[in-house]
This record gives sequence, C-alpha cells and structure tokens, in this order.
Amino acid sequence: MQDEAQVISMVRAGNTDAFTDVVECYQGSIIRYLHRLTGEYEVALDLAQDTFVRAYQGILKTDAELSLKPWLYKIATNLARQHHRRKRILSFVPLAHVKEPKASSATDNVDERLVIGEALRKVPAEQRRCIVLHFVERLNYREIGEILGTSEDAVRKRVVRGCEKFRQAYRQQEVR
Amino acid sequence: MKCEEIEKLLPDYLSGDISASQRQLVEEHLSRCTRCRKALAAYNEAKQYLVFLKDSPVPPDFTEATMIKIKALDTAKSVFRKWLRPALAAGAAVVIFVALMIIQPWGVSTPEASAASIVRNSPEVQAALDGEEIEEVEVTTKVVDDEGNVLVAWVRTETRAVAAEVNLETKKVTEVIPVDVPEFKAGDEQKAIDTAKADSRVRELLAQGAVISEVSLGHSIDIEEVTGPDGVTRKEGAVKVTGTVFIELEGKVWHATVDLDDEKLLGLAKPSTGTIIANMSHLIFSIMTPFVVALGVLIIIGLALRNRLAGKIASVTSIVFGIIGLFGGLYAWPVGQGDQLLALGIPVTGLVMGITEIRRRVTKRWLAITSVVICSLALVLGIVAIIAFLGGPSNIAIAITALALIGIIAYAFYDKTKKVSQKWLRPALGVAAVVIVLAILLITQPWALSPQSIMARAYAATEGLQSYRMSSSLVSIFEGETSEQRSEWEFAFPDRYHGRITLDSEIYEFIIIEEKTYARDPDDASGKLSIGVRSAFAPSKEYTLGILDSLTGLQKLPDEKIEGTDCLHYRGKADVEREIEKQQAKLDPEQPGYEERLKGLDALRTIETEVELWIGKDDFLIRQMKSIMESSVHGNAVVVVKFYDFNEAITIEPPTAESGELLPGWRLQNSPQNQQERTFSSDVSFTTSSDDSVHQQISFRIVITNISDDVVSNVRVSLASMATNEESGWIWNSPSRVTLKPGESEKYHVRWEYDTSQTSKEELARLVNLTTVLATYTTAEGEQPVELLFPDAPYPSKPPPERPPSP
Repeated sequence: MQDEAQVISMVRAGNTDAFTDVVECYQGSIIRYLHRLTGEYEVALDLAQDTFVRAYQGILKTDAELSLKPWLYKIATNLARQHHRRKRILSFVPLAHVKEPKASSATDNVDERLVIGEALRKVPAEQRRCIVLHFVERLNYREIGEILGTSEDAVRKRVVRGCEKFRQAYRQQEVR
Repeated sequence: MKCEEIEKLLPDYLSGDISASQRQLVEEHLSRCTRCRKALAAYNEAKQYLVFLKDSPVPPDFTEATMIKIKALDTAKSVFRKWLRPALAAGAAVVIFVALMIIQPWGVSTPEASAASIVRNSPEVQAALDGEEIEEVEVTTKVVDDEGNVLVAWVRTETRAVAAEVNLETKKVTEVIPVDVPEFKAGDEQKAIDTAKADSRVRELLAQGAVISEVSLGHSIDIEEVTGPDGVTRKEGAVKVTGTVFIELEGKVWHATVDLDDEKLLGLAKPSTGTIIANMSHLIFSIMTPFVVALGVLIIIGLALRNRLAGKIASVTSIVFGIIGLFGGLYAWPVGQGDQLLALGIPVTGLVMGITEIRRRVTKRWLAITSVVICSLALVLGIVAIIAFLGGPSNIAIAITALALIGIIAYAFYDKTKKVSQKWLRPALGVAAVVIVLAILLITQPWALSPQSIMARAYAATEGLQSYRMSSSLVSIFEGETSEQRSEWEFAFPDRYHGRITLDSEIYEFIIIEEKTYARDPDDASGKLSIGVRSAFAPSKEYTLGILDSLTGLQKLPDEKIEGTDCLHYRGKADVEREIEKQQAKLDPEQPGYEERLKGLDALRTIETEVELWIGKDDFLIRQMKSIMESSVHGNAVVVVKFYDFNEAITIEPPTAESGELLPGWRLQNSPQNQQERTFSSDVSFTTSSDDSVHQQISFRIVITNISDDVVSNVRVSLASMATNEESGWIWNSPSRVTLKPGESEKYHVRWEYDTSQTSKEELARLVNLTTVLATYTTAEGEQPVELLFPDAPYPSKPPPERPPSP
C-alpha cells in the first residue's frame, strides 16, 4: 500500500478508488480478527465489510490525522461487540430463533483448529479480544490498549487471565 | 513482589524482552508461587496453540464487494445528501436576510426613527426643499390625536428648513410648511441655565447639592392653523429655541427643558432605572441584532460544511448569543414587537449552533453544552415574554417549550453507536439538567421583574403622562363616625387640573391652571366647608410619583383585572420617616408656630399607611391605588383612586367668558405671585400654654390691615381647623362684619381651651398645624372675594402634593 496519509488525503479529495488499497491491505487481518472474536466466519465477513464501510465514512467525517491499523481494529472490535450484544438481546426474544453455529466440539474427527477456536470462544470477550490481538494479530500492548481504550497494564493482566481461561477450556474439550 | 506485578511481566519474560534484574525477580517469585507457575504455563500453552491457528481465508471477491458497497453509499450521498444541509443552511440564511431587510425590525421600534425615515424619503419634502441635500432631520414634537401618532419633524438643508407633519398610521407626510429656523445666539446657553434656575423645583435640586452638568440647545416646532385675511386657513410653523439643562444629583440626571423665547420651564424629568434599562435593551437590539443574526447564520453554514474554525467561533459566539438572548428575554418585551421577535431569533440561532456543534463534534463539548443550556434559557424567557405580551396562557407555552427543548437536547446527545446504557445516559443527563433549570426558572420567575423595577417603570410611565382622569373616594372613620368624600380630577400636561369634589352631597369645583386656582362653591357654602374642601384629597401627578418613590416592603399579590385591564398587584407601606423629613424641610423656622408645626409633624409617625397598587401589565400605568391609613390619633381612612383616560385629549380652560371675565359662580383664588393684588396684610400668631397639665389653651391673635386703595366692606374673619369632628375641630367666625378703609386695621383674639385628658397633645399640635384663617369681604364693585390670611402660603397652586390625605 502507498503511504497511509497519502491514501487518506486522496480519499478525502474524492478519489474513492484509492480506498481499495486500504481494503486490500487490511482485509486479511480484520477478517481473521473478527473470526476469532465471533467464532463465526460468515459473521466475520459481514462485519469486516461493515468495518471498511465505517472506516471510509469516518475518513470523510473528520480531518484529524488517522493511524489506520489501530483504527480499523477499533471499529472491528466495536462492531463485534455490537453483534454480540444484538445476539444476546435476540436470545431473550422467544420466537426469534437465532441460528447458532453448532458447537462443533464434539465431533469425533476433531480438527485441532476447531477445538482451539471453540476453546477461545469460552474465554470472556474482554480477555478474548486481548489474547487474539496479542497472539494472533501480534500487536504490542500499547497498540492493544489504544484499540480497546484501556491501559497497557490492564491489557497485560487480561492476556494472562485469558490464557488461564483458555487453557481450562481447551483441556475440558480434550477430555470430552 | 505480588503475584499481580509478576503476572504483568510474564509475557515479556517468555519473549525475553526483560531486564536482568526483572528476570531474576520473576524467577525467584516463580520458584515460590504455584499460581504464577500455572499462569506462565497457561500463557505458554495459549501462545503455542493460538499461533497454530491459521489465517482465516479471504474470499476472492471481498475487496470488490466492499468497494461496491462503499461506492453505492458514496454516490447516494454525494449527489443529494452532501449538499442538502449546506443548501438548506444557505437557503435559511437568505430567507432570514431578506426577512430582516424587509421587516427592518431595528428601524421600526421608535416612532421617532420611523418618522425621520419617512420624512427623509418623502417626495413632498424633497420638492419643498428644491431637491437640496438634507442635512438634518430632527423629530421635535409628538402629538397624539384621533388619527394615531402624528409627529412633527423639522428638516434642514444648508440654506432652508421645513417642518413636516407625519402620520405614523398611514406612513405619509401630511403637511410640509416652510419655517424660519432661528440661529442659536451666543448667550443662549446661559439663558437656558438662568431660565431653569428661575424654577423653584430646579432651585430646590440645586440647594440639595445638584450641579448643572451640561446644556444643550435645540428647536421645537408648533404648527398652528391660521386663518388669513382672505379667509383661507393655512398651517404655519413657528420654531422656538429650546434648551435642555442636565442637572446631576446623586448619580441621577434630571432634564430641565426650557423655552428660551418665553423664558419658561417646559418640563423637569428624571430618568428612572426602568427607562435606562429599556433604552439599553433597545440600543442593543436595534444596533446589534442584524449583525448578530447574520454572523450566526454564517457560522451555521460553516458548521454544516464541517469547518473547524467555524466550530471554534460558534462555541464562543453561541454562548454570547445566549447571554444577549437572556438579556432580550428579560428586558426586551416592554420595548417593542420587533425586539420580541429578535429575542427569539438570537437564542434560536445560538441553540442551532450549539446542537450542530454537539452532533458534529467539531469542537469542545463542554463549550457547546454551555451554549445550548444558556440559549435554551434565553429561548424560554423569550417565549414567555412574547406570550405575556400577547396575553396568552404562559403556563401552556412554557410547558410546550420545555417539551420541545427536552426533545432537542435528547437529540443533541443521542449517540446510537454507544451501548444501550450509555446511549441514553447523556441524553438523560441533558434532559435532567434542562428540567432542573426549568424548574428553577419557574420557581424564581426571573422574568417577573422585581417589585422595585416595576415601581421604577411605573414611575417612568406616570412621569411621561400627558393627561389622565381619576376618581377617588376617601372614607374616613374617626371615633365611630364615618364620612365620605368623592372627587373626580382631570389632569393635562403640564400644570392643569380640573376637579369636582362631592362633600355632603354638595359639589365644589376647581380649575387649576399653572399658578391660578379658580373655584366654584355651592351656593350656600359656609366657611367651614370651603376650608375643608380646599385641602381636599386630590392626588396630583406629583403625589402619585411621591407614593411610588416611597413604598417599602413591597409584596407581590396575585394579578387582577381593573376595568378589563390585566394588572400587576402590589402592596407596600409608605415610608413615614421620609415623608416627615420632606415636610420638615419645607417648614420655615422664622414662621410663627414653627415648633408647634414640627410637633404636629411628629404626629404623622402614628399613621401607618398601607398602599395597594394595581399597575397595568403592558404599559405600567397605575390603574388603581388604595391606601389604608390607620392611626391612633387621626382615626382610620381608606382612599381608593382609579386612574383612566390616559393621554386622551383633555382640555382644561379657565372658566372665563370671551371677554376674560369669570363665568358666574366662579372666583379666582389668591396666588402668591399676585402679592400686589392682595387686599389685606395680616399678622396671625398663636400661643399654646401648658401651665395646667389637664387644660391646655390655644390662643390666636389676628390683626388685619386693608392695604388696598379701596374701601372694603362686610369684612368677616373666619378661623377653622382641618379636623372634621366637632369635638376637637374649630370653627370661629368674627361676630360682626366691619368696613375697612385703606390703611385701617382690625384686631381679633380667639382662644380655645382643651381638656388634654380627652384630646391628646399630638392632636392639638396637629390642629394648630392645619389651621387656616380667611377673610371674606365685599369690594366696591360688589364682588365677594375670599382671602387667605393664614398660613402664609395661600391657597395651594395645585392640589397639595406630598401631604398624605388626612381624615
């Protein structure tokens, strides 16, 4: 991708196509991140698309300097959070049958990755975000703190706690 | 070190990004702590597994699909939405500007300014001036007649001048009359000062330490209809030079307007606080409003286009708008309708700016929030003021405004991207703040003005009256006896009164024109009644002003309607001490009986006067006044005065035939200025003796001398006190009627004895204070005048001003 600032100023100047670069460059990480957060690939794709649309609108709305990567993660995190909340609200409405992806855990031919993904989903959302950003996206603590709007120390703690939760969940699944 | 601290270091420990000392610390801790060892293992495990997770596949059409979505969004917005707001804002700006230019609300507020602009643009005036360039337009005289307000302005070019009469209803110049404008002469300013100083009121002010701060010269025009020798009626204008002398006393500036040609004082006015505030408010609205609104519109456009500078300016400007709006809401409403519309326009502009800022987040939020709060306040005040002006139900208006405001504020703070709890937190806080502010407003009612400022406005309104009528009734109860006196008075500016007083079903009529008092008594009037009536309660303009100026402990009572007019209703007490001081200042220590009079004044302290006032809501004119006086010495009295026919054409003429002779039944009472017309000189003295503690004696010695050149016959001297009850009042008539040749004198000695166990000493002092001595006689021509011998101040030239009504 060309220089970030340049792309942004091109978009602001009305060159929509310049934004293609941004999508190309970050789609992999954003889809992966959302997939890890939500545990649902289809949902992650939808949310990733929304993330880029929001980002595009956001670029036009402000003339502040933007650092694209953390900003995209931030939007993605918020969208995932929103999605999670909606799902929870829907689950309270008796007639709304929300298609939950089957906990694919108990299949005989256990794909290691599925087990890991499933275990990850058992980790509380707050800690899950931290460990995904830390281990999968390989962002440093400062960046994670920025994206999630919290301090570096808090991120460290959540990572360690999240790991413990993950380990427990993972062991349980293996036992089953 | 605690586990918590170690936990934080674990990731770095594993990755090796850690200092040697920290590494040692961690290892030492791990050797002792199972929990942390577990945590470390968990971290390690997670790291291995999660890295093991493969990337999620990216669908090949992802970029394309996303870009299509973005472009769809973009085109939809770029054509319509992108320009919708700016276009709307620009449209609104144009509409407001055009409306402002058409209505010109800053121009119509004063009739004078309006008249001046009509005159300036009038073709008739242009024609009369042969198209010469107009140098000056001055509105000099304001006449109110049946056709609406008519103003006379004079217009001057370099070489000539005309007077123009303007009808404000038709907005036409009705008359253009060429006039000669007298130039100001060198000594005119001194002459103005001298003329002002000749007036006793001005002298009194100066005696109190006032200084003349400024003199300005001007012109006044009288337009008169003149029938020429050819029988054709023409209008002629006469221009006089007038001067305004500014007299400053204790921070207040009095304006004395004098006519330099006739060398007389035309009027003396004191600007009240109410007038000053109204003038200031008017100034702000007339000069600043168009600029302020235009600026606001420009800033809104800037905000719509997301201009950061516009946002910064808007924050500060909208706060300023709010403050101006508050001022407008509080004070603009008595000024004029144009101002009221702007009292709304300014806060609305500020509110729109503030909300746009909050929604757009262009600038600091607290600034925007402050501006929204202030502008909301101002808007509520403005709406209340307008509703009050239109006479509508203010509570419903406030409720509707409050609901609208709550909606607007909630909208301003609503942010759908937040969590459910957060989404509504700020709107709820905003609404709560508005509700609290409104509640405070409704409880304190700042727009309801303080009683003091209402009094100041009433003072200014009353002071500006050109004419009015009033009817009063005085019911007094003294020792169980009730008597009633009714009177009707008319007043015409500056010094004309006409009154009819009904006492015991007999009617006494008075016409007072400047210093002359004409009286008509019932056919068989005795001395007693004549005296009683002469000091009849007649609340002159000065009396009313005196009351307004002296009320203390003002209390607001529920509004009431008086003769169909909505009135503010107040109750207060008359400041007796102040009244006594005023009266004492008037007494002359050289006069006989000074001590007794002073003591008599002390008796005033026993009077408690409670005054209720009903003041018109719209014009601040007094519609009704009720005084309840209670005194252990003087008994009780209730006076109710109704005021009406304000500024109507009231003509008060002397009761004389064309030849100048008095009409039958009328007589001209003496006046101090006509000393040479006096028939008698008199020497009246009295003494009180208090040797006996129970029996007090009061004796009068009266010597009258005929100082005229004619023989007078049937001379009879009467002495009377003011008291109405027979017990303590006096009526004495000289036993015989005498004839006095020029230079001849006659002596009388009158003595009363009082049982002071029955009548208090204060009452006696008061009786002396209010005693009058009269002489009636027949002239050589057969007329039967009455002359006042005592007190030295003869018949009051107008109804007694500051003296409270006495039972």
